[in-house]
Amino acid sequence: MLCRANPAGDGAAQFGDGIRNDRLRFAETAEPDQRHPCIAVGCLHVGDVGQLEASNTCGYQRNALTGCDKTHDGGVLGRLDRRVVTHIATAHECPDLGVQRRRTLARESDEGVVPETTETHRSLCGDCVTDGHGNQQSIMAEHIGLHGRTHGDRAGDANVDRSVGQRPSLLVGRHRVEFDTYIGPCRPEAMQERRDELIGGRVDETEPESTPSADTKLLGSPQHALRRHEELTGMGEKRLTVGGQSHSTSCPLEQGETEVGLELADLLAQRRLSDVELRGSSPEMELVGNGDKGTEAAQRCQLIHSIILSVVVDLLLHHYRSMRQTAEMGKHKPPARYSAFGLLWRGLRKQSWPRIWREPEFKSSYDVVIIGGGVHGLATAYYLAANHGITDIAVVDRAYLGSGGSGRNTAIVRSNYLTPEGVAFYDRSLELYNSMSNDLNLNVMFSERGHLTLAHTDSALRTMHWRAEVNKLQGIDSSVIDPTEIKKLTPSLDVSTHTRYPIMGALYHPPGGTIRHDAVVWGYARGADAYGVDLFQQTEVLDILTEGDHGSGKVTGVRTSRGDISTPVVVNCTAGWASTISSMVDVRLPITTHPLQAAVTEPVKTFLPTVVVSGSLHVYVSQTDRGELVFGASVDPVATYNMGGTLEFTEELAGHVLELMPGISKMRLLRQWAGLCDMTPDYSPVMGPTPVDGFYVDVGWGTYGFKAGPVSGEQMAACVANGATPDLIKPFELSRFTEGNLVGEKGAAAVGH
Amino acid sequence: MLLVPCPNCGPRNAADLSYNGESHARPDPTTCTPEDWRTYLYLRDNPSGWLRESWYCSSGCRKHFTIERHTLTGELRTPILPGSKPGATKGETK
Amino acid sequence: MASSVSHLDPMPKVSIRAADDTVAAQALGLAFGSAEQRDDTLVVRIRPDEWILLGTGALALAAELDLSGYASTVDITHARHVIRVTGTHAADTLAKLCSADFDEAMTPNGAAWGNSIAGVTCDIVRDDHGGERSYLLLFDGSFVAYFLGVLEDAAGEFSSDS
Repeated sequence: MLCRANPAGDGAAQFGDGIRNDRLRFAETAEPDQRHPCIAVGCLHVGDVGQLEASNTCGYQRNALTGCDKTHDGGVLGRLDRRVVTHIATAHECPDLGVQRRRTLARESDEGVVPETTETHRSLCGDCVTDGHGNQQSIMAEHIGLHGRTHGDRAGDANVDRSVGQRPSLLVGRHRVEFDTYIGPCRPEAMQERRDELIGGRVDETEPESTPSADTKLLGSPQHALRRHEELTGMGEKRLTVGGQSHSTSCPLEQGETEVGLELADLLAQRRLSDVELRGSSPEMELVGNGDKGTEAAQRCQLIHSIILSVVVDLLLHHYRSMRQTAEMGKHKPPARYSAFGLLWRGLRKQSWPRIWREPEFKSSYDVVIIGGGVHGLATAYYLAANHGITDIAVVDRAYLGSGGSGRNTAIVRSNYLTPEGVAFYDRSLELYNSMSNDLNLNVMFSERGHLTLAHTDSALRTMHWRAEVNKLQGIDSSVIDPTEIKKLTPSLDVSTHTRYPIMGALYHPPGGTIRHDAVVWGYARGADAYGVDLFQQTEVLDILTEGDHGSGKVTGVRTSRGDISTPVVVNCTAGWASTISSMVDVRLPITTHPLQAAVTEPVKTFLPTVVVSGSLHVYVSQTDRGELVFGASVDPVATYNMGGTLEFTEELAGHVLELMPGISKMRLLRQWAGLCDMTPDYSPVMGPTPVDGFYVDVGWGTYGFKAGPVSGEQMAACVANGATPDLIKPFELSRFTEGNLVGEKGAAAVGH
Repeated sequence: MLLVPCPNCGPRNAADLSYNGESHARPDPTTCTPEDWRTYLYLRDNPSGWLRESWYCSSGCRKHFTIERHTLTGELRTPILPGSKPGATKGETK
Repeated sequence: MASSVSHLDPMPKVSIRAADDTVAAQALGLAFGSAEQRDDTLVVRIRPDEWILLGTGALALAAELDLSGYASTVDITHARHVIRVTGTHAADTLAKLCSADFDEAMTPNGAAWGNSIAGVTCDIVRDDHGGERSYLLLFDGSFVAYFLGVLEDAAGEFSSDS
């Protein structure tokens, strides 16, 4: 029954046969009917994982597994008995481990002490460590080491029963690592049996030096594994350092390689929290035994303490960072802060919240007047104040803040555009969105959930590849994926080939996602207000006062429904009425205003993990945090300022959505609405100065204005403050139309929102 | 739904017609400057109010015509076939 | 029979384009938007400057025309297909698929007009037979499979046999 690999000959020849990556050496059993491959391992340092190298001098390899590069003479056998792997390792002179015990084990192996049953396996996996003795932990670690290398390597091996047991996982840093291992439930009595069988009472006699003390370094396995994990996930370097010695691995490593030590750490952490602790930070993490066991209550206490401590540290850090940030901004007054403490404090005192922005006095003169209280206008005001110290600003809106496109869009953000200009621009916007919650101290609920642009035709797929390459060149995370991967990402999509518009691939853009658009408006409004910017709602601009010739004079003021304001600078940040406002100073824009309709369904359980866009079907879908599906489409073909919904839209939308997701045919639409989109001929905005001195535009934002809000605010602020157009928005100047330098973003901007 | 009165076919669903956008005079390509031409190509009045625009009766009579439409209220008036006078419409043909 | 959908091809079809002042236009006559049966040919003035001749005599009739001036004839027998929708619910069937007004006042027998039906641009001719509502639909041949399917689906509600 016991299969022994020939130390010098046949067995060695079989090492690596048919086994992926040369990682696992199974020596087939001598008896063909006995379908239990043997696993042969050279020297096993306790719990260390690594790689057996192909070359060997003695039938077994110098063992990268152990990190010991000395030649080992041990003949060792392991056996894979359905779910059971056992082994005995022997070695000489391995610095990390007591040699004596190895010999003991080796002797046992020679005597054929090999477990036969799965219970043994379970007991080994489960409870070896409970003894609290280094040796026993070692054995477990050894065992797991072997166990670890048996799975994942021979996935199809009938001798490995994968149906038993549970999937353990381990939190390493912020990553949860899930292992494809099979640790069955523990059976203490079986464990005891096995322990006796393997070690019995001899351990202490043969290896007194391994008695655990408070500072016993636990045999290197977790830190080894973590270091290994770092190597694998981080640099990808195939080097292994243990005990001060470096070893390079001979072939690519896979996930499974890291598992063993992690698993050990997991077990230790889970089961014997009080016995061990992790010291230091990865990759220098050490697992240290600390002697006595604590009670469960103590463990819990410890846990709670650590959680509270981490939260406090987090908050303090956050506070510190924001203070520093504010300090960097210079002399400006920081916005009032929301915080968890504030929430608690107000909650306890039943204090009401102050208005998020002031109801300011209407002054007759401002340095800058911004028309339009949406994301663009407010962001421009905010960045003028925050970045340039210009705070004497009035933002006027004829309705309420965020009542236009900012509150009507489908809140999708992405940066996978087609032209370098577009990519650079929208990527900066995404950056700002990423840090917005921190910067504005208001949760904008940014959900970076990934963005799929589906291709239904060969030519669309070609465009996707084009876009992916442009994006990669600009450092944007963007790639073309095939239907299998699409299905994996978004199972509700119909990726079958028999549909009218089969899904042939998609441009996958992981940084894309959704944001709560109202929060963005409120955040900027609050931020700007705190800097002293005056926000006037329900204040309609009736005229812009100029001196000099029509269409080329100089701005002197603004006539509003609440009175005149004298100002040298007016920024037109409107959508929908951009042409109307501009016509007040006789600036003609290349804009036609079209309504864009959107709709939401009733809320259902979350099932759509990504933002899905289909250009051919003129539809895009995402699911809100409340569970509603938000649909958008392309703009209505007829230019109008009328925001009424149409039945055609609903009909067409429903048809197209069901093409993509037949499963939602029973869902009901709750409501639909429209917003106004200022479309330009090249699907790119118009930004910067105009022929009229002091009149700036930030318009023509078509169907993509929301995702660009922060960056256009930032850039417009720079433009107004410095009097020169920043490079980032240079391509979008109004003069491009008379000069014939159109941007040509249609391929990526139309429908793809 | 917008009911667009085609001078030939009478009121039709806007979905049965093609929208050509603002109707404005084309400069003479042989004499105008590139700037003029680009102005003609790209710049628009885009008013919120009455606008003369061009439609094509694509599934009906297959004629282009212009019509005045209020871009806020959706009212339509005075459809004109090219070369004919305002008001000279057949209206109810069917 | 509530409504029936039948595919009438190949039926000879000729399209004639002629300006108002040509001999051909004078010979064909008819007001824009109307149709008339002449012997074994249905003459339809489908557009102000276009006539369609349908039926076995279409080619012969077209051949007789004087094409002087701004006029032309094109044999569209195989380019276009014709479907006839007949029955008491013929109008209801079509009304499900297009925006046209099938009321007697708007489209009496002999009316002809262009319209998009289920997204397919069609020429529609009201051509009643024996007092029963009947419509001829002319459309581009490449849509025939889709179009028949759509019509049958729409007629299904009125228990058609097609």
